[in-house]
Amino acid sequence: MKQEILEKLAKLQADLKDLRQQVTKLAGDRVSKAAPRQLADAIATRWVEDLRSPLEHKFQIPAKTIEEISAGMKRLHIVSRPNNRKKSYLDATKQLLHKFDDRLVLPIKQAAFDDAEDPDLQSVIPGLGDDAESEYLREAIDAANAGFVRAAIVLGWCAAIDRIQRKVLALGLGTFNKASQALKAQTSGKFKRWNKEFSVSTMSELQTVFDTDLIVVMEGMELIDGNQAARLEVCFQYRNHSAHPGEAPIGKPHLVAFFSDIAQIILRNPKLDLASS
Amino acid sequence: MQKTTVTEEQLRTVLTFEDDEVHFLKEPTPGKIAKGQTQWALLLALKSAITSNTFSVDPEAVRSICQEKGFYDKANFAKNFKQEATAKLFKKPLEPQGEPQALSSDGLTALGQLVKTLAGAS
Repeated sequence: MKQEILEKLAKLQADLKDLRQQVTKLAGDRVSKAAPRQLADAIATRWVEDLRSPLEHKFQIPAKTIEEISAGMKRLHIVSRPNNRKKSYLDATKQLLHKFDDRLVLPIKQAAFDDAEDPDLQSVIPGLGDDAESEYLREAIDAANAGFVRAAIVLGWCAAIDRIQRKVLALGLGTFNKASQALKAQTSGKFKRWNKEFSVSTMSELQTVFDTDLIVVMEGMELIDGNQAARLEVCFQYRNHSAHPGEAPIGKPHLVAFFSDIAQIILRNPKLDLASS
Repeated sequence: MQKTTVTEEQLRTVLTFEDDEVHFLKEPTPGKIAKGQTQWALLLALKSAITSNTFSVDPEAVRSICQEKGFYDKANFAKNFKQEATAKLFKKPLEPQGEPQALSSDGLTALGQLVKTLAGAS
């Protein structure tokens, strides 16, 4: 969308300059020729139909700028009626072209994302939809494609935890319990301070295990390695920053990183494949 | 808004005011485009009342938000504003590229009802 909007703005600017030139060349002080009048009307129409809404709501161009440009476009629309004064056209085009790049083009160029880079998850992570065995993942993909980044991350994390829980269930809850006991028993190394031990016997009980603990026991079960566990903790942080109001940014780059990681570490991890249990 | 018996709590449920900007926490979700267009026009009047102390609506601001929120019917945008049920909500009819128009007393009543409905929606 970014590139498309930039192209539309470039065309708008070029047409405004063209209009100014056409009107300047006219003899007399009134504009009666159809061509400049139609061009003025077309420019104003293009603004309201194609440009204002995305600039105002998607790119968040300041309200003052939107109001100024919209007022200029309204004026252009009005002057496009027959036999208005050349000066009115020239005033309107002058106002609209004033700092055009600074007011409209620059903020778009500086906007963080281009739709070409926009995380259509299916293209960033090919085949992700194939993993959509859970409703969570389907909803996460829908949310991401609709631009709801935080919602997508929260749902994506649900999908990841759902897969982990089902894998643990498939391997046997006894295996999970034993792994937690073995970790607790360690007196040296990474888990020497780990003091939790689980004794879950149903899926419902497994669902009460904190996500961070689940990650630790997964590592103990050798379903993931230490680096993968650390990365999942980062993903969990993204999930928390998405679900809990705060200042930490969560944007499209985080979305891409998040889904790339959970796809590789969990959804596509052969050790977590449900069919191989 | 006091005339419409909308409470401060209902307003706080529907919108928030931050850094001189109004953000709607609840948004209209009617099934029909024309109704969405009217409801957004009413909400923009409310926004204008908060930021500029006047319940008025710029038709192009309505077009812009309707495009964004999926309530835009290009062919019927102007026509929808001319329908009697909608036209009576404003002191003068809203027209494309036209001047901002203030809400009529019917418009204020409709806005009050809309805010109450949105505030009550779960």
